[in-house]
Amino acid sequence: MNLRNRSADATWAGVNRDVIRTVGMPGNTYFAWMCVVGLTLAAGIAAWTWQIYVGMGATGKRTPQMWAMYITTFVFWIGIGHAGTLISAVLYLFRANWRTSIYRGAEAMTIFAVMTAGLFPLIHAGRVWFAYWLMPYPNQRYLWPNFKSPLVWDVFAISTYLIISLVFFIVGLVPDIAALRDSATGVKKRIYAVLALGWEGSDSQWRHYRRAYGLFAALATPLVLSVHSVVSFDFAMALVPGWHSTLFAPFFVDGAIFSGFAMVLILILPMRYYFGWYIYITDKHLDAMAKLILVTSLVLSYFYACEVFTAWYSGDHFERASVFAKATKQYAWAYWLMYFCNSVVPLVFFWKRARTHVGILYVASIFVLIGMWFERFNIIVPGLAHDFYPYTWGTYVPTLTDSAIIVGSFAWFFLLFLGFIRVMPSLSIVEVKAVLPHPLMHGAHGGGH
Amino acid sequence: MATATVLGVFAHVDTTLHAIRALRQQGFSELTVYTPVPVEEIEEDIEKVRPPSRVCLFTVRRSASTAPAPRAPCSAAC
Repeated sequence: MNLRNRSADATWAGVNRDVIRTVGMPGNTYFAWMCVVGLTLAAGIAAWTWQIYVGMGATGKRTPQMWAMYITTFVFWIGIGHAGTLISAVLYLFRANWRTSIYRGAEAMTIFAVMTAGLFPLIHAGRVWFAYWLMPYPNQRYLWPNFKSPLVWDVFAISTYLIISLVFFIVGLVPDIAALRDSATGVKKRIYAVLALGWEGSDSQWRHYRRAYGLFAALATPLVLSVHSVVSFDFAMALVPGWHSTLFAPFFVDGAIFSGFAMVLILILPMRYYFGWYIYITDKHLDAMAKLILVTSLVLSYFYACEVFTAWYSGDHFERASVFAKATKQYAWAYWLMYFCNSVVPLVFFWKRARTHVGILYVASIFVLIGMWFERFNIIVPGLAHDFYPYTWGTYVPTLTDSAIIVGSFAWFFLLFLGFIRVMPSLSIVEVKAVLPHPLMHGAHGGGH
Repeated sequence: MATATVLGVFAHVDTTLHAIRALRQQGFSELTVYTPVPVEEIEEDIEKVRPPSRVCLFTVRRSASTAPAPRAPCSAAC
């Protein structure tokens, strides 16, 4: 089914009906998933409580492996968010119409991924009740965070990202919430009425709305590049072999978009199935996303080659030793798994049929997520395992506590997402309608109502 | 003094546009159009007699359309 078919099938009234139908009392499958997610999250919270009670020793972090899985997962989640902003802001400015059916889900994914990522510096730092020490605030003893530390840059980069994404997201939701308000009754109607901010769809509201939306898109666009660049400085600013590289910013940004698109597919495909949105999320959309995954995968493979090449060409003994240790020592399995998932598996998308085959897309996306998690793992854990001085070499062994917290973070993300799709329109009513042919009485297209 | 207000409901974009233009010709200037989505043609027509949106002072750009591509240049300054 292509876009032309979609235009023929979908109508303005149909969009309203198909989206509003998804908001409300969910079925048993939904509750079953919520139970699974809720229990996993409870296990994660229990593990975190245990970590706070026992201390950081419970996490398996020992010198030199002081970053381990928490920072790996932090970078992973920040990366996931980037595809959402790319779809919602960058593709908006480029007038890529295929974004309309997927951008709401992708944007929600961004917000929830950043909210998940934001937990990790707090979990990682240990005494979470002192988290506010990360913020520069006036205090009597003139104590300030170290502004030369990339950790503080992270605080600014990520809080900026969260605020801009959230505002952009809420502005986009307003006309859709108004559509929900108009169809709801009772208490729900009152809640949606407050959230719709008095939206009535008058011409003056639309003209201001569209200009404001353009502004937020323009504000969010540079963040796609800047936020993950700042996260990459956490590594690139350090002198650890394999980290201290100017390659890191584009390498991280590309990897972020790559993993983000995989996550979008993982979320969008079940939504399309359960909500019956086949006329809105068509093969054309899947094809476009698969192509973007393929392109970012090829660019990533190029960066991997550069990484190995510069280590060899630099002539630096420690750089060479670091790459050699990653590829052959105790973490070699993770290294080769990363190459397989990120550079080999996405090559399947050169095949046209694979780009629209739901099963292949889903499995490949899972591989991409595994590969991208291991990419960050390979930077952090084997990187720290083989430093300059053999005395500081050391292997990291995960514990039940930190593993449960990592798995719990996925549950937290899915809990937020599952909650969202049942109370808010997860397909943009307005934007999908806007690209449909307008209903005309004397026109070639019959839009219908 | 109470002001008389007339409300018209239209099902199609072309009939709405026709009504707006006809009303304008008859000398009605205080028009408000409610639409479920932004409609480029209606916006252009309405903006002919409107001052440019002040949101543009902040955004420093023309309107960003959600429609595929602007069919005609926006007549308003912004």
